[in-house]
Amino acid sequence: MKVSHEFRKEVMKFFEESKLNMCYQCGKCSSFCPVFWQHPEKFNPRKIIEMASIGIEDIIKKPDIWRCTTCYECVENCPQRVSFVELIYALRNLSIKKGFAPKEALDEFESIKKYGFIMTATDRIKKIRQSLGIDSEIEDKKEIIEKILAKTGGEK
Amino acid sequence: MNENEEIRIGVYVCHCGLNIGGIVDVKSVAEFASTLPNVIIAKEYKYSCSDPGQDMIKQDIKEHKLNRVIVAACTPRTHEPIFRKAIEEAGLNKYLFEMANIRDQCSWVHLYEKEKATEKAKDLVKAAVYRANFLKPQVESKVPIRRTALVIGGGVAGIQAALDLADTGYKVYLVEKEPTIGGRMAQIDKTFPTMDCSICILAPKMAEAGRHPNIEIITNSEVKEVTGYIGNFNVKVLEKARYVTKDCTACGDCSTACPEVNPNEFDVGLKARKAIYIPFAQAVPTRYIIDKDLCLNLKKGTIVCEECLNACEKKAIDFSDKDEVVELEVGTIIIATGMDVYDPMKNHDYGYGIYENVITSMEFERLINAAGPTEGHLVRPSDGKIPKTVAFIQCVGSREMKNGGKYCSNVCCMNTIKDTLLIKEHWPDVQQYVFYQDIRAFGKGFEDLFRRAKEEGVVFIRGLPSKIEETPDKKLIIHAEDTLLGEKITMEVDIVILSVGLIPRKDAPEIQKVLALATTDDGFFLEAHPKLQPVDTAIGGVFLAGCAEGPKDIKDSVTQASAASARAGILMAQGEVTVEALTPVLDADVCKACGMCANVCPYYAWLWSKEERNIPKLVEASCAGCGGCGAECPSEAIEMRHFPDEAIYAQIDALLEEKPEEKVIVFACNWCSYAGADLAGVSRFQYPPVGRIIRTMCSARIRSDFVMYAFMKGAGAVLMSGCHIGDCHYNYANKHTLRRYEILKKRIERLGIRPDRLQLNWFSAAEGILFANKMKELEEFLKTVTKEEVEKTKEILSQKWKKPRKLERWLETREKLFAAVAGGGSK
Repeated sequence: MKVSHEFRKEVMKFFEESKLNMCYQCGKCSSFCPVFWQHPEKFNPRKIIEMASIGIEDIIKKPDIWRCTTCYECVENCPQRVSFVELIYALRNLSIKKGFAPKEALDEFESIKKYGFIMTATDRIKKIRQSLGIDSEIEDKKEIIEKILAKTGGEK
Repeated sequence: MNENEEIRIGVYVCHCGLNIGGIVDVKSVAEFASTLPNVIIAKEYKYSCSDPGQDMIKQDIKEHKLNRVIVAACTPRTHEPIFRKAIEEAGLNKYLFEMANIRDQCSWVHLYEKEKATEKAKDLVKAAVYRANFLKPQVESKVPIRRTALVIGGGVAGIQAALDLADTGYKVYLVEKEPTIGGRMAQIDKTFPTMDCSICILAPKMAEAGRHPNIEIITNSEVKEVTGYIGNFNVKVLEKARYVTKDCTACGDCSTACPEVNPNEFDVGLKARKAIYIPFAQAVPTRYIIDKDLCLNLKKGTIVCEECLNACEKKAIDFSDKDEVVELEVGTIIIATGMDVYDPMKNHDYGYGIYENVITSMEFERLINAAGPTEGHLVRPSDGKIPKTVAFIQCVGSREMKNGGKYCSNVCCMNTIKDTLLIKEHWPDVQQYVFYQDIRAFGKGFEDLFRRAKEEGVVFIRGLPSKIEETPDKKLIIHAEDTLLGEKITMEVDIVILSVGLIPRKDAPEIQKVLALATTDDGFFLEAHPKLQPVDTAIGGVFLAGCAEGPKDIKDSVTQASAASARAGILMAQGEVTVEALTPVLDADVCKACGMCANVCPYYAWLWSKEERNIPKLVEASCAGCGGCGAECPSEAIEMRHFPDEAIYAQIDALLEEKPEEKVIVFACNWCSYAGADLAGVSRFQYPPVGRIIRTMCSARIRSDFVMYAFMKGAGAVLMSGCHIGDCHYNYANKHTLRRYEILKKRIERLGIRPDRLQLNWFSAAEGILFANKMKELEEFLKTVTKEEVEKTKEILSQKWKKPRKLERWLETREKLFAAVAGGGSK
């Protein structure tokens, strides 16, 4: 794996350097992580911290970073107060910016832009809603959301 | 010396070979000096510090009746003592000597600006000459040191310190809070890395301390009050009632008879003791004690139970025993109050306090100890059986930002390794695992012990567990990541031992308050210097030993105890200390008894009480001479000896007589920022010659009026500088510098002066480069200060700022000086 000084700098823009460097790889985060516990080979927060802190760009090309559920167990239990969830957000942002994000993630993003929800209703849900007499079509809120995004700087 | 005595100054400008002579036009500086008021003679010389150089000065003192000597050469930090000695030999008081630093802070840092360097050298010499008018002969006072020591804390560090001092021949009081000396070491089974039996090596020392003719052990007691100062401390010790007299032979009949039972503190609650008890068999003094919160009689206040009384043949029980205050007079104090062990009750994650079979390393020590509750059998608390599998978890309460300490506790790695070997020794079949994040086996013999544990089959797993679960049969399931594999692991074990860290004692703040000590942010006591004065505190005559200063093992505690007793011994052997004549003198006629001096003093050297509103009285031996009180006193009643206000105004005046708007007045403290500026010189870091340094002992000496006067005289900028916060050589005096700076900034802004023109920077003695960079930055800054701006400032201040009394005094002196010069026609 190649160490990229540039990538490291980019990560640090999102994330305070001192916080990340505090990690001494004790493994409490991974040991507490429910995702790691199910799929240790697919998601290991400790390794993600290590890769990000030394500057391995491959990490944002991997699907791993999209597997965090942001449950904060790792943050709660880190003896060095490394905020792993913040790091995940930073890496995801970088991943989208550089066009490495998987299609699923981008779809969700588009969905938010259009409807304001990550998940839109499935056909089954729509049917249930119809049977209960609730509006089954989701309102297209693109204009409003774009306005909000523009005002909050979310367009970037 | 007579006030009206004629001042006769001799100035010696040194070439220092080419170091100064190659850059500064020494001849013209000497010629310039000869034109200054009260200068009788001014000479240049190749090497002033050489023997012939010194002889010349001595000769001139006699010949020309000089009574002030100025050498313009290198830095007073290295050479002042040499010249002071020389003038003393010629019959002058050493405080009548002054140095102008034209090498380290001039020629070496302005190698390529010869003209400006010469100008600066002239300024510096002039400042020294003006200042010399206010130098007075000073008498250094001597403070006697009592040849008696107090050691607080009777653990291994305290015992060692007491024994060393007692063997040297000094009387020692050893005060211990518990009923016996011995401390933590007495609780431990074996010691690393040699696997010695702890009590076997400690008990002889305890007994030796107990019978030493020079040691008086005062147990079951607390130090409640310490007054006085170096060499002369008055201590009040509360000796709590023991209810058992010295006749006790420790036969134990009383304890057998006693009906009341409680968990024994010595066995961390794992074993029971009676209301009348002895903590452990080897206790010193070998005397029983009654727990007054448990004894039926003492709880009720009347005799309802006579079991122990009847059992005691020696009639050594006395229910009427009372707490007593013992007053001690000592010369030095050694603090060896030790530490506490981290209590993992808070750390619910590992289930301590919930799962029976999760224990701490301290509990393990008692379980594995032959005199402990299980007679040396490591048993599972749930069923009393020997475990087949054991897991240790490291760093519980250490290297933690949340619970416990954020530092490494220093002993737990080796302690666990020792523990695994103990288990191996007793039950070779027990499988052992150690969950760790780093194994720190740094000391002598430590790595060998680590290797031995691995040879014996102890498995080390890198990764701290997250959760422990309990099975119905009280086994424990550990969940962790093996970080070297990146794989999750689960493991079922019979018992989990939490390797708990060391924390400051809960009662440490009490001792801290009693002695006005500083602590680090961890809560351990702060040493005077982490490298060069590791057992001294900022308070003269008070020393540290053992874990009170930070977590450490037995060997380090003992080493430090011997060091502390040597340091205390030096003072007591000398029998007196000389206090440099830098202390303040109070003019009681001017003092308004406001107490500001007492409030800012980092050493509590001014005795003043809010209720009495008395004229403060200085305890000279407690004073370190920072000058903070002199800077604070609103009525200018305090004169700092050798650094009086008038002298500093005189220096400011001298430095700003010409082109003031192109200059920065830099106030630098002797220990850090002045030393940092010297280092810039030694390192030849080049910087523009805009700064003019005025040295004080501490940045706390910078009176706000000095800054105002510098601006009134037209200084382009003023830089206040000192040691970094936390590094101050006068406890915390520089916090007042910061406070005054913040107030001053607002004040000048209100007056219409650009606040940026006053700046504050901390430089350590190692930060020469930062000092040089700051000077470069200030040169750029000065370009933004226009002549009009300076003129406006001068106008504002001459209208709106009331000149302090002592400034007026300098100005009067100045007038006289120049009248004399004009009259003499030498200028």
